[in-house]
Amino acid sequence: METNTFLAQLQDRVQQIKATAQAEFLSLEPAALNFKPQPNSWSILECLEHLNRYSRFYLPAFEKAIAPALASGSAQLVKYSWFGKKSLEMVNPAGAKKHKTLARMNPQNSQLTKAVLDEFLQHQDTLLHLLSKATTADLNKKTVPVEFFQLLKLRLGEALEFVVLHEQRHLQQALRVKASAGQPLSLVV
Amino acid sequence: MLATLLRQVPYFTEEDVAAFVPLWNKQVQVKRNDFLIREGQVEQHLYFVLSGAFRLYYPTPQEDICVGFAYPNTLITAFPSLVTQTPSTYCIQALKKSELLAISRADFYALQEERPVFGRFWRHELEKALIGKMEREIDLQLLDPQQRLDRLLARSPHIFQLVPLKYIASYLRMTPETLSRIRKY
Repeated sequence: METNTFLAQLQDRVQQIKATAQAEFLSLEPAALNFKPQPNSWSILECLEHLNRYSRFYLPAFEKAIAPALASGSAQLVKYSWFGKKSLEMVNPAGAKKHKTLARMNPQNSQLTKAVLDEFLQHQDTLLHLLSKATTADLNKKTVPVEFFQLLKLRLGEALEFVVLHEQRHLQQALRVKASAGQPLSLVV
Repeated sequence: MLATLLRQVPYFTEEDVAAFVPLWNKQVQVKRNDFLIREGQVEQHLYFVLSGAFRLYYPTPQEDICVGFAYPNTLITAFPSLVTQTPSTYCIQALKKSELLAISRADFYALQEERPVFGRFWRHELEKALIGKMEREIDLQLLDPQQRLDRLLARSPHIFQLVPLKYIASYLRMTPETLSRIRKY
């Protein structure tokens, strides 16, 4: 896929993430935002905080990676590395398989307030801004360090897609939590 | 725990919750593999699972057919027997050490007369349960075991963490071997 189309599609997806988060979560009471369907599963705020922790690492890394401009960027085809493909597979919301997160990325039982949601929405604005700036960058250059092993680098394009897909995955999780909070009990007959 | 959940039902007032919670006055503890209800008993209670896990099954001489599972925050009862007050054909067995709260049928029905909001609550629960049963009816008609598994995972993504595989296989009408094989993909 060409750089411009690729970035436009990611922008659409981030717009949608932002709109969904605003429409679904802004009006909720703190109790609903903190509701856990199971004692060891995440609340809506915990899902968002998990994403915030990724954003805090990756957004500055994108900023740095985008800075060197490339004149002929827009027509270039976006390609994937083996590790990039694996990473995307892992966070694909369509995959039902669960993965354990790293302890420092697990927000379970931290004290969370609505500030988490505000931060999440700010990150989406930053991400949108970065995506619009990235049109002049070389998306195939391996410039983004991987959070858990920084010697390993992802290509800029695949790293951007990774962050967006990861957000979609946990946003869906948060929406499922919201649905189960509206119907706190279920009857088995 | 029950009170916290009930407060999240949008149409319950604090008064409704206060009238409801004390009626759940029977505490039940069940050891692993013990029964909440056996075949032939008449169901007198609606249960709320505090901890543990249960399977609901229909015993036949060849095999036990699993028809449902209950885990924390679910309500469970041998429904046909509760409604008709005839001996149950289903069994409810604990899959691990479990704790429950129970409300008697008589108290629950009386409360529904007294406070119509509980009639509404019960209708909502029954509607959701009916939709669940209809989903499962479709599941059982699907010939491809993978499709049956995918639909179950979409509805209950946590199920493999809560229930042993052999019971899930029975629920999905496939052998444990088939389930184990298709789960890999």
